[in-house]
Amino acid sequence: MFSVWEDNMKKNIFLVSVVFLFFSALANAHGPVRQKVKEEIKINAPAEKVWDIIKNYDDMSWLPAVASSKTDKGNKKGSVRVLTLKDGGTITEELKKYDEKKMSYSYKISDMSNAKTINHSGKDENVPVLPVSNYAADLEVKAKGDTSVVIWKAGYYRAYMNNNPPAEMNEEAANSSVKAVFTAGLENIKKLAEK
Amino acid sequence: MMIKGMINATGILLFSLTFCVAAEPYAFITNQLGDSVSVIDTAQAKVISTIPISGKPAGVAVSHDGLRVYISTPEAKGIAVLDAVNHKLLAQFSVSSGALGIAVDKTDRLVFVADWFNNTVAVIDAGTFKVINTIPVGKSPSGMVVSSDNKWLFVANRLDNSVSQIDMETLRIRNTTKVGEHPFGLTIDAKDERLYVANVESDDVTVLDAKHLKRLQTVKVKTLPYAVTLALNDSRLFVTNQDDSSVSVIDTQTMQEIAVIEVGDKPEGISTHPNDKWVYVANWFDNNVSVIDAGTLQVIDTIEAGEGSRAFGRFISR
Repeated sequence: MFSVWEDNMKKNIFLVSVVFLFFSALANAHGPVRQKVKEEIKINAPAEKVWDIIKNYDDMSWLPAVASSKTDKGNKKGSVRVLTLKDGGTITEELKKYDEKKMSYSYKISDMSNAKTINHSGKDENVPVLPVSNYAADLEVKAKGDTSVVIWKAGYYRAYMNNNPPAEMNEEAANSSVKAVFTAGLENIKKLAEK
Repeated sequence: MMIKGMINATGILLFSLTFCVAAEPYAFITNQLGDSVSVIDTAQAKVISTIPISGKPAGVAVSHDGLRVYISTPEAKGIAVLDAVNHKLLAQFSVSSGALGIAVDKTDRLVFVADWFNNTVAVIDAGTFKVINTIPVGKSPSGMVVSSDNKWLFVANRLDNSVSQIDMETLRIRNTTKVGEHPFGLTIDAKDERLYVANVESDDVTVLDAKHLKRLQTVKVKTLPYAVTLALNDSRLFVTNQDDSSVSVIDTQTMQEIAVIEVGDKPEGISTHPNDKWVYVANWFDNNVSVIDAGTLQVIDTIEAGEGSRAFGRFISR
């Protein structure tokens, strides 16, 4: 009797593993490809003046969508910044590099709140406020005589890491969202600097 | 007389053609976002051909005879095979769902394709393009390298934080050892003594005794080290630091980082020219390739490639 039970258990375990293998293979079938966006803007103001607007990592008021921002260690490497957006969402970012001389810094998104939950192929999926994952960005001011250029760029993956992403979490969604943020930010920096 | 002249001319032409192939190695740069491969003539320091390849080409391995290039195409779940001399696509076929890391054995008879999702290495017959074996390895196998004596295949298991040594005769794992966090690219010296592994998450390079897989040393580099190559008689190790837009140079005698060379943004693939002196770095964000002189440690050229130049693997014929 015991051996029958054991045999049944074995069968069940076997079945469970087959089903599990099948689903994990499905979920993992080819991964997303890393994406990037690079935007720049010419500003009729000296680089120092432009850098003054963006150099404080704890102040992202120059980005229209941001309501408030705070950091734990200011411009020190490893400083964690929490952005609260005007629509209530939050984005947490870690400062990876800060170079006063080159007027540039790099940061990475470590956490985000969800903008909404959608149903995709029978499962609930959380769409983050910026539909990306593994996002790393650089912001830099370059002097061009009396004028300057601000370059903002980022590398990231789409938000949905499995195969067949929903429209809200695919590459197009990621790219257009990042582009929109960059364009709005750069245009506002220009406006502030050329005042 | 005329015939003799023609024969002579043909002879000279043939000679110069052969000479060209031998004297001007090519660098094959996979442009993942551009769905293409840029062929760089290293003598002219420029792209002489761009081959369209679908499926988001990422990994690359040039055969040791310099005749073929094997390229992993993750989105097409397989690999592409190029004619390395005429720069033409010979074949493209599926292997498995997470094809990324790729390597060729020293006899050019076997091609290894690591499957990022299925935790296996597929062994492909280079003559028939058939998968002849599948080796189970650790989690998310990525970079691979074959020892000079062709006895061992080494695989970095990224999510297992380990490196496995596979016996090329039995095609089974002989040994596995822990390295740093998230090992990705790796290389071995010509004497098969030392294995160097770039650990993406712990920002360092693990140096292993290649025979027994013993950890010899851990060398700190910059942020997100991705891939490695040796130059100048294995005396210097070059490491791409993806998030630092730089290449770390390690003296393999003292095991010290002796220089940090600024290159393009998001440097990924790295390979050494057969002259053992020029080191090529594919900069993913900037869509270009930096050429470093391993002696002077200066960037001597920057060559424009395609969108998302990644070139993960041994991409120069040597």
